[in-house]
Amino acid sequence: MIEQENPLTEAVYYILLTLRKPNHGYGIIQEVEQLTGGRVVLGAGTLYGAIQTLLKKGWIDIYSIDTESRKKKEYIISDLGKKVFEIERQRLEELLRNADLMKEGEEKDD
Amino acid sequence: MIKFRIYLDKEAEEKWLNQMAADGWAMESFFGGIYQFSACEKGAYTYRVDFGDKLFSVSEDYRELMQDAGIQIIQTWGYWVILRKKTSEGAFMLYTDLASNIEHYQKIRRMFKIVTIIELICLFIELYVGAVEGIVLGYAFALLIGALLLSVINALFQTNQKIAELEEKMTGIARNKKNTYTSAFLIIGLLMNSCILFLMDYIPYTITKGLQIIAIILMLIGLAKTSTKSLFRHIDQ
Repeated sequence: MIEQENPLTEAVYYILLTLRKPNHGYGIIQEVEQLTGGRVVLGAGTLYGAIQTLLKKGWIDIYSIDTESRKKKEYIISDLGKKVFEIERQRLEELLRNADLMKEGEEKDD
Repeated sequence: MIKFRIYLDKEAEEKWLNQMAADGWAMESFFGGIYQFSACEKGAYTYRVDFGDKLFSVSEDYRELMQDAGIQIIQTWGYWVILRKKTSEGAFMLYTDLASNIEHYQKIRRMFKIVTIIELICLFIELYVGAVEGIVLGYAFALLIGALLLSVINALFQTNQKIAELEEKMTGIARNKKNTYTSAFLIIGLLMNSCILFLMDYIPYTITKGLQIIAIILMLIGLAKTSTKSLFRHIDQ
């Protein structure tokens, strides 16, 4: 069931990664921008939609709602989310490992 | 300044609102086709139209996120949400990848489908009122709803096209993922035809004839679209 979901979209991958620590919506956008050196700037619609979907799938949980101190709603990755992320990491590693074959090909050509 | 417009195409609406803002008119509110503008510095805002998941309101999470991102919620109307951001605070895009863009248009398409069905039902109720009850006003409303129905079917078609384009960009394959494809035209045409047959005895012949021609045209378009799409898929495989 989990495997069918992979590969993750770049947005989902980075949202899961940033939610290793509790974070709120706009905080996620900022951290993803920082992590990717400004390459990935998530649109507010993209982020909102992704958070709703991830909550529904149970890949992330609500961490805190503290309305009295006007603290923002924060989210955190769930155990299921961590599993999904790990499967994706292994897939990406395999991709990179196999990418080395391209170098071998170039060496033979020389 | 007040302007009256009706948009079913959110991209056209965005374009118009941004053009107005570029000319120094910032949209402030909307009610049933009436857009209200106030003077602003030329190009002060970028407008975007979103499709939410609540009628005439947005969730607390949504409001919070937009506020943090420096985005103002100007108006909610049905499921539509009109937003703006100060141009000086950077670019404003709601959907920044293909996957979320597709999801966004799929939500819009679902709404257009439901509206199409509701309007079809209304159309036949009005025709029934006109024919069986003999109230002429029923026909007048039927005509009005018929015109609305056509524009919504057109919007549905455009949205379908948009989704197909986005899916093509994402997969690099220009085919529908589903194994079976049936054009919306065909379904609507068939539905219309069966309703006409049902009401035949109550409606004057000239009107059923006219409606039947429309239904047949819809069915033919639908049939052509359905068969060409299936044909191309078989050639590819």
